[in-house]
Amino acid sequence: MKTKLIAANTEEQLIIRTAEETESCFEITVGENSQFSLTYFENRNENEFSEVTITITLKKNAHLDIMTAFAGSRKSKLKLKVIHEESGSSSDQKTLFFGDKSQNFDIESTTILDAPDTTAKIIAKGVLNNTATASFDGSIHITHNGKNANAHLNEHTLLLSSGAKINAVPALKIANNQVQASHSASVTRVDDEHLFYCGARGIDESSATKMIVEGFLRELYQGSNYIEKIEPIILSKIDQITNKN
Amino acid sequence: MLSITNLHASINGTQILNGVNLTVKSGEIHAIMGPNGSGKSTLSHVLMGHPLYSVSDGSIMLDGEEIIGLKADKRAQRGLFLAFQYPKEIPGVSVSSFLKTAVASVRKARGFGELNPIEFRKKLREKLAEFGLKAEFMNRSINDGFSGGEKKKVEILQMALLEPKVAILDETDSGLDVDALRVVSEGINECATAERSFILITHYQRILHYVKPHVVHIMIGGKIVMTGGRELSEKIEKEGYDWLKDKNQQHTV
Amino acid sequence: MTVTLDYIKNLNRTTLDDANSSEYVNHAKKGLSREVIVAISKDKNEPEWMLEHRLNSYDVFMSKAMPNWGPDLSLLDLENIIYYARPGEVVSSTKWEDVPAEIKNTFERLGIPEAERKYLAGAGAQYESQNVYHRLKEEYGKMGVIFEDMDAALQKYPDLVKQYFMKCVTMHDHKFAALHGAVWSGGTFIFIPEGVNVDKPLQAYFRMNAASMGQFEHTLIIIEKGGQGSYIEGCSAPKYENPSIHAGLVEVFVKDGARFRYSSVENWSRNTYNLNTKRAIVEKDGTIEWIGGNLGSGCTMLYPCSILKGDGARAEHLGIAFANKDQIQDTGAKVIHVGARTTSTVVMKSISKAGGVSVYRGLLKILKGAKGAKAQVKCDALLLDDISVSDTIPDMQIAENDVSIGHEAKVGRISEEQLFYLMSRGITEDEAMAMIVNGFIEPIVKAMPLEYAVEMNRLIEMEMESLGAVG
Repeated sequence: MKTKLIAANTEEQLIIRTAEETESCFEITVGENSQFSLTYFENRNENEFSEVTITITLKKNAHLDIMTAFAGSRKSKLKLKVIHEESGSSSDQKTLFFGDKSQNFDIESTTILDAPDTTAKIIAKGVLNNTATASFDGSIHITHNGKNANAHLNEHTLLLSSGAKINAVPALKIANNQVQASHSASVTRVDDEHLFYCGARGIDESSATKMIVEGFLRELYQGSNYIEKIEPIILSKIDQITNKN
Repeated sequence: MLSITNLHASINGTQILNGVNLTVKSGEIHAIMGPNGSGKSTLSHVLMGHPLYSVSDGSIMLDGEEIIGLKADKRAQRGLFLAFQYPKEIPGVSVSSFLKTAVASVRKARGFGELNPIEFRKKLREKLAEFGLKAEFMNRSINDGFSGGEKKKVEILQMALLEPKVAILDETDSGLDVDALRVVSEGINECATAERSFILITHYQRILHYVKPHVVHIMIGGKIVMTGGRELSEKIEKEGYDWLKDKNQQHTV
Repeated sequence: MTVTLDYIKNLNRTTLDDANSSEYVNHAKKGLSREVIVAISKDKNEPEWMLEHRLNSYDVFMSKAMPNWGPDLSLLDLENIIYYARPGEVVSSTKWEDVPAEIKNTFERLGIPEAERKYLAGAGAQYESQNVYHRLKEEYGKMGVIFEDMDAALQKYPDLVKQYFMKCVTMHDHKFAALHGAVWSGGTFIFIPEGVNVDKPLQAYFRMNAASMGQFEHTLIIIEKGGQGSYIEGCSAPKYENPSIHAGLVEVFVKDGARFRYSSVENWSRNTYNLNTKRAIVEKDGTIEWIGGNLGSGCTMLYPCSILKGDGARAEHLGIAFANKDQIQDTGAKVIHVGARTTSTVVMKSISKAGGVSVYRGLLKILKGAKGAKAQVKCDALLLDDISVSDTIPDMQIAENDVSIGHEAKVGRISEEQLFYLMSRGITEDEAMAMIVNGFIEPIVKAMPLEYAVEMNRLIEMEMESLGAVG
């Protein structure tokens, strides 16, 4: 287990690349008024397995920016827990999963808002091709102490083939009424009407799919620190998928 | 030139087009008017090759070559363009990347050289300005959150960039205020060269004040029942479509 | 909107909470055993296969564990429940005059005979384990419609019942389905023949009376091809200290092109554990609509389930749950898309007050091959104070990509601006809150038959009034 304390009033960044990381359990505390940015890349080899647990506790007015991206490994499991322990803390959580062949991602994300005036924004987007499968359990708990909490979870999955599967359980557990909390989830495929519109502009199906899948995932990394790191992985995987079809 | 002969088409087992005949020569602007449910929009979708429609009879020749059986992208690459009545939103795909890809595919098919990206962005910015749209539109997701007027302007802007041989404009005037209509019409007129043909599909006369057609057709019950000059559209404006209810054959006024 | 049912004017907590005498249970055995089950079957003079089914169910019940999820059921002592009680020497009759006075008055206060006169196609009333009244208006009988209490149906139409009984929900489904299979008594049997449209609702009302009762009515509904009908189920029980249990079972078979609407207003008392199971199997182009209000019981676990088996099958689930002080409403919807082009919509609204807990637990399962399936789920929860709780736990298992699935949920409280606006027009705070709550549940209430919409509104009003002004 690796523990880390981000001292009060500081800024820190951490990048975890599973292919290079041996540790599988992280406990991080973000001190008062600090900013912490964590990028987690699941980039192990196609034949490998990985399992990681990350627990992050946020102190007063602390802010967390976290991006978890799953593209590699045959089977990967992430248990993420973000605890807003003290007032004013906020988190911006993004999850991206992109599975091909028979990859499997098991993502459990729990956000607990246990203090007043906290904010959590969680977006997860996934694209699954071939017989890839994913399970996304994303829950928001606002305890009795979570007055004025503002928490929203959005999860969207694009299934590219009839063999892909998604299990999504976005949960809301709310015990204080002076809050704004919502969640939404959707599962779709590449829309035929979109393909036709692109076609009507001379863009063939494979290029159109490429464009649409990239546009779908781009929202997560656009304009962020992660863009140079993530974009190449995504683009090359999209290429792989659409060139085969 | 576009030549449509005896076109029959249906969707979900329901026959909509019942033998459409139409020839549009280069440089001509044809208007197709008709009441709701006459099959005008279906015609535009069938011409562009929408997968949900089945053609049971007839032919569509673009510059002497049959295009029935070709997918939409191939038709676009050969020079056919459709300005949609309800343009689709594609979240995450910016206007500039969408158009760059489209223009590149069409140029490639026509044997032109590669597109210079800097030049393209410059041209796109110019066109946006011509249509009264801010440069930041380039980076917005195509049609996502656009007003009705903005959507239609972007459709015509796309036409200007793709330089088609035959452009079908499906109710481009619907939902536009006077100013937007004027801007859109100017865009169309600028593109109306001797090498290009237009089919303006419209329910109302309005756009025909700004974009003057050479020929006006009336479509009812899935076929063209009357063909004439501009005076035909004026008659529709005054009298509506009721007087045509009994007409089943093609007439020339 | 005019009140068309007079009984609503007089409806208040005592109407529901008052109990009649219950000497008939003085000798009733508590707890469950093979002997109790054999006695039930003998009392009803059932065919051999039904007794066998009961005993097999009992074995399954004993072998299954209590659910390890959901509300706490530890205070429900299954040994301390009376599983079967006939309220004296009562038989089912088709005339209200023949129903014993005390029982008849209970149903009068609950508005059943009035509703029957005014707008139902048929009505049934069950008191404890026994059906006391059942009548179908003649014109529907002539069309071949069958509307009987379940015990009578087993006697009159044994083959038809055997064909369908517990085939939709089997004894192996879960512990309380097995319990039901062992001790079921009474309930409703509806058969609508091919192409017949029963244009007025059929209704049944279930009333528990004695303390520590268990009610296990079985409702079996079969709608043949192209048939149409609707059914309203109401229930209540007096309030006691000791727990009561309701483990009813509803099975609906919707055949090709048929359409059925199942509405229920559940208003058991606070000491009742409502562990009901409802499921429909829908064939090609058939439609099932579940409309429900859950208000009364102390602990509810209820997840109506629609299995969209045939291509083009449709399900609509609309529900309201009100969780007041000391209540847990753990409700939801389960939809399983099997056929192609199947569609489902789920709209659930919940209100939690004074520490009540409301949980939405849903399952949306799209099986491989359910191409073109469309499903939408919308859950809204209103927390009226800062001690109440709302959980939304939707489980989506999608194994087909040619689908369109959407789910959204929101949790919040009554907006201050809305309250202020109403109060600035002279409306008191309590009235304003009640108005806003009514507006919140309106989309569901308006799907109910008008008379029930009015009842639903009145029942919610009563919940809002209880325990004084809202905090």
